[in-house]
Amino acid sequence: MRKTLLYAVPITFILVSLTLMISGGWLKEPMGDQDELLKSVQNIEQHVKRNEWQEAKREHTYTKKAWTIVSKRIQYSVGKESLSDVSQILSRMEGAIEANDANVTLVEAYSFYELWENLG
Amino acid sequence: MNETLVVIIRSVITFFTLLVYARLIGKQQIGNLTMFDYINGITIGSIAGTMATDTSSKMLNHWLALTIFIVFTLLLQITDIKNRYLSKVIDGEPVTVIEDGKILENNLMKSRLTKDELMVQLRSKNIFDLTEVEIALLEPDGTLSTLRKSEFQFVQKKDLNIQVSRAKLTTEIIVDGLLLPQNLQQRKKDLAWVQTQLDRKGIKDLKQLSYAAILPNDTLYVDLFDDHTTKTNDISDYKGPY
Repeated sequence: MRKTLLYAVPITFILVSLTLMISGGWLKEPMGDQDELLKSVQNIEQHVKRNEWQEAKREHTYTKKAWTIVSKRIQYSVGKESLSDVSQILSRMEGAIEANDANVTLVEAYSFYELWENLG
Repeated sequence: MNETLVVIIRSVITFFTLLVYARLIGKQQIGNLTMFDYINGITIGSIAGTMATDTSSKMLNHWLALTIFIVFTLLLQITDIKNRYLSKVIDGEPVTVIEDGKILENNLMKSRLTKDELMVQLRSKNIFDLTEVEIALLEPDGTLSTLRKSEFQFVQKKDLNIQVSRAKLTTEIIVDGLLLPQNLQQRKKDLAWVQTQLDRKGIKDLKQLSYAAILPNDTLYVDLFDDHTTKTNDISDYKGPY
């Protein structure tokens, strides 16, 4: 029993830590209807393309809340810089929506997609 | 991002990962530090430090670097055991620096050891006269091994034909009032023997004992929690508290 524990405890510890370290890839995916981050940015893109600025603004409010939830989940496996990059993109996107600037909003949306792909 | 929480989690993971890895590497790392082992150890420590505190990048990257260093260290250790030639290439060989009392300057130069450093090493081995040295080897871990000439070697008991009993270890049998039955068995003693010994010393309860051990001559050494010491040997200069 003792010998089993001698090997089982460190192996379990290494496996659990490794899981935590690589968990960003799947923890960023939605787990309910409050954290559908990628979908909400895609919605913003669609609203902006159709010049629906009020809807885009509403969607962005949801996006920010979703990002707060997702960032808490992935903060142990993702670097601070990546988290900060996403926050900055979302802030710039908010400003662009406020200014009804479709060009900047789309640039930020596509920057977000690239970052999202590599997040985790 | 709650950076404080992230640093706490990272530090816990790093601490226990280092503990597991240090156990994997074993005792060789401390007992036989070559220059490479030394630098390798510092690098591993540095990576671990970054892993715990550098939240700007993914923890996984640091963990991978740490794991790769440990895996290569283990591979080198296995290579050392399996292949004598590669072991010499990796760790180097002992170099003779003194032979028959004469300093071998070429070997000293190859080892990049100054005469002053050589003298320091000799003095630390209580050798103050070069002519006493038959041979001195500079080991791969930087220590000096010396063999004195026969006429300067210490007299051993067997040289004087003195009868000696077999050397034994001191075996601890009570620590902080707790009996260690496994150790008692090793020395082929039982609780009754311990009790008799304690009775002779006027000790009624095991809990009075801080430490007890069977000495090589099969007598019992005991140390009580209550030491009854005097102030005679107190070397403190000030009242304190410090």
